[in-house]
Amino acid sequence: MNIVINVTGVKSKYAGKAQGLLDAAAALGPLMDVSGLDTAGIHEKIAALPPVESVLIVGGYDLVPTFLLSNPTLNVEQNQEGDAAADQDIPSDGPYGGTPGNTAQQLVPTRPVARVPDGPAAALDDFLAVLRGIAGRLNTPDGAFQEAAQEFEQPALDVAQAMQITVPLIESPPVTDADTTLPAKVHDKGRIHILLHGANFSPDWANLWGHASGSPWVVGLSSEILRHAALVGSVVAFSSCYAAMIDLDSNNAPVRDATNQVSMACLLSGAKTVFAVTRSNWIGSTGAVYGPGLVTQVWEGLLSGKTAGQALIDAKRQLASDAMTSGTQDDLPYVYKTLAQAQLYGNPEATL
Amino acid sequence: MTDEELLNLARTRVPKHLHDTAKLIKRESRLTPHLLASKEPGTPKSFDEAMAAELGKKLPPPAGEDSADVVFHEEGRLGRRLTVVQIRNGKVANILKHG
Repeated sequence: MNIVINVTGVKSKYAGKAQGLLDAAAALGPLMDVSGLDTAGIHEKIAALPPVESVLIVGGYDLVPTFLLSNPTLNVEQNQEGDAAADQDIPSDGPYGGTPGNTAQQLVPTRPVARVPDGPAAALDDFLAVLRGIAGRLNTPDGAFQEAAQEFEQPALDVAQAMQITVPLIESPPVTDADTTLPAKVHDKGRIHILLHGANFSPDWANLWGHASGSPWVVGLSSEILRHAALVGSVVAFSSCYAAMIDLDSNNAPVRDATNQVSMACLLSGAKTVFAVTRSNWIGSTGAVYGPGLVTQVWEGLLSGKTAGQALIDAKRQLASDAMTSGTQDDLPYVYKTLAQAQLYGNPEATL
Repeated sequence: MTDEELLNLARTRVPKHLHDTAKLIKRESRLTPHLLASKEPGTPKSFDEAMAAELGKKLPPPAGEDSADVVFHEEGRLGRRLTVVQIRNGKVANILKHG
């Protein structure tokens, strides 16, 4: 795989320790230096690679920018223009995997693209551990873990069927992060799917939330638990809102790292790849549509032997094709948002 | 169906405390998922056509006359959370929530 990295930015951010990071990145594949380039410039450089080669972006948005797409369901989500409760934009690395100028491939790319976010400079040792972890060709541990908000029981069970797992679905409520048996249940599990709610603000974004109609919100799982779980070689998929959100709440927490970002917590624990979305996910009443529908397709691809990156781009195409075949034009904005925000963190060439 | 009939149909599928928050979304207000940097974001139709061509598919039909999305919301610990009742051709086709 090709490693997209901002060498100048890395040297500036990490100063005397930058060479260690550059060496760790070079151990993953040939480096493509994108210093000083904007998204369009980076896109052109990636597009010049042979079509089948996957790409891993090293670092967060401060080092390698992401595309910002408009939200096709903004009119559904906002009560008035500029409404902060709605997703005003959608950060997406997906367009890097398409042909420049091809509008459809922004959402259904042809090249596998993943990112491994780095967090703050002070957490360099954690980031180096993540890079070393995803460099290994690790077997996926046996065993599985699944947890969902109680109100999402059915779509979660449908995804579990696609994952070919039989471990009981943990529902929240009644389960919360205070359950002392929870860490052991996720510890060292190979196939993980989480359909709890997510938050887009600090400090609540450090947790994943359970909910049932008419009940209070409870913490169902946390970065704390995931960060301390041994997930070496695990494959993790979130259908939760905001589980891949790494842009900052500028009025609040100044950094995203493994202490407050659930996907980064999984990577630090050794997960080789994490599927998640940058914004709020649409959840239907079954696992066949929208957010869980995409994850269902991803697991089916992984189980057929595809790499993580290929499984995601094929899943996006399948979800979009299904929408063209069985839906109406009025359903497409929800599908488009699902496709735009779905990201892959970790190794795009990892397999189950 | 009138707008009020669409709203009332959707209300039958959500808890009563949400009923007053109902907001009707009709297809005329559709948006595109364009790059924010793009100077020419196109139209929903042109985007749909590009997507269909990319996938080698025909465009799906527009939803029929008696179709709309009805959005309900409630405020809670995690901010505003939505429930969307999708009505297609006079029937409830799907109920969506934010994850």
